[in-house]
Amino acid sequence: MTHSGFIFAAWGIVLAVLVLYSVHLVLRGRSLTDAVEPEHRRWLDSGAETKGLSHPPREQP
Amino acid sequence: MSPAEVTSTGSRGTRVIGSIVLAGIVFHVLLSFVWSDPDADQGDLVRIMYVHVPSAWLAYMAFTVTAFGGVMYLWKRSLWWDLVAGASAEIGVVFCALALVTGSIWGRPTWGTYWEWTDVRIVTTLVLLLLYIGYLAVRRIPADPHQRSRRAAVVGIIAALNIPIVRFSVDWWADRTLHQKATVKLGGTELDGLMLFALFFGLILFTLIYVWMMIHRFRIAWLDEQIDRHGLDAAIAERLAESTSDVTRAVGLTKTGADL
Repeated sequence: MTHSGFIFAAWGIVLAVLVLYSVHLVLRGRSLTDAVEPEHRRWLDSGAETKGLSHPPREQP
Repeated sequence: MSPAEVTSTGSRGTRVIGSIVLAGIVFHVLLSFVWSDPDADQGDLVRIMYVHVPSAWLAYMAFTVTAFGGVMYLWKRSLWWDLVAGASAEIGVVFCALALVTGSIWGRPTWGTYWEWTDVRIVTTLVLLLLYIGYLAVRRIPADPHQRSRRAAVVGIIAALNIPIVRFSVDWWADRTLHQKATVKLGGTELDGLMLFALFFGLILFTLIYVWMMIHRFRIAWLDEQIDRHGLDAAIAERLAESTSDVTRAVGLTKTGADL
């Protein structure tokens, strides 16, 4: 194979970045899940989809 | 799965998609390195195309989803669309950076340079990346949640105007780019056989990776939102409880003084 250094560098960077970002997502998801009460952990469980949830209403002065 | 059983952002759906992706990556590597032949012009360097083009494609798609999410947020004022837009932008930045890096690596043996500042495709792609890094920065500026989401939506929509410029730059300014024109286009393609199949398989595989990442990233964004919201609620409740006990104590002291 010609130019194998360039080819493996490109593939290696892509695979490494995708794996590292995926691991980062999974680990961050786990730590955040622990910090939230069970009924609020998922969009569907929270009932937000039926409430048409937006940001909390602004406080009136 | 009951709420108490949720211990991560994973679910049966993400595990199924993840398993398909892992098998797909093995298949894609075999397809790209073993089963497909070198290109007549590019030789073995064509194998970089099987990760470079899908990365660029996913960047376009992710940023388009961000812009669409922004439009939907401005229309519906729905938190769901705001979170979708933010999640997609972050993933898009990852893929856009990968497209630039792999393109640069491909450029060295092909054009004799890693980077060319006068090349419209390279520079417009870099601008696209910087625009969406800016978008992510806007989302982090402390502000009223409505205002922050509205600003982000506007930035996301404006930044998306650069997507067609990047895509068609090689046609509009053909004399100012080293980059080849679109390899796959409607009405004909320069690839055939296993090379074309490997490219399309890469596009499908990277799209599945995007879907897997989007599900996780959306759930993370939702958890962040819950921590902000309920953390603030808890702080307000705590402060109210403190002030109530202060008042009660003050009233008690006054009464005691009056009794004396």
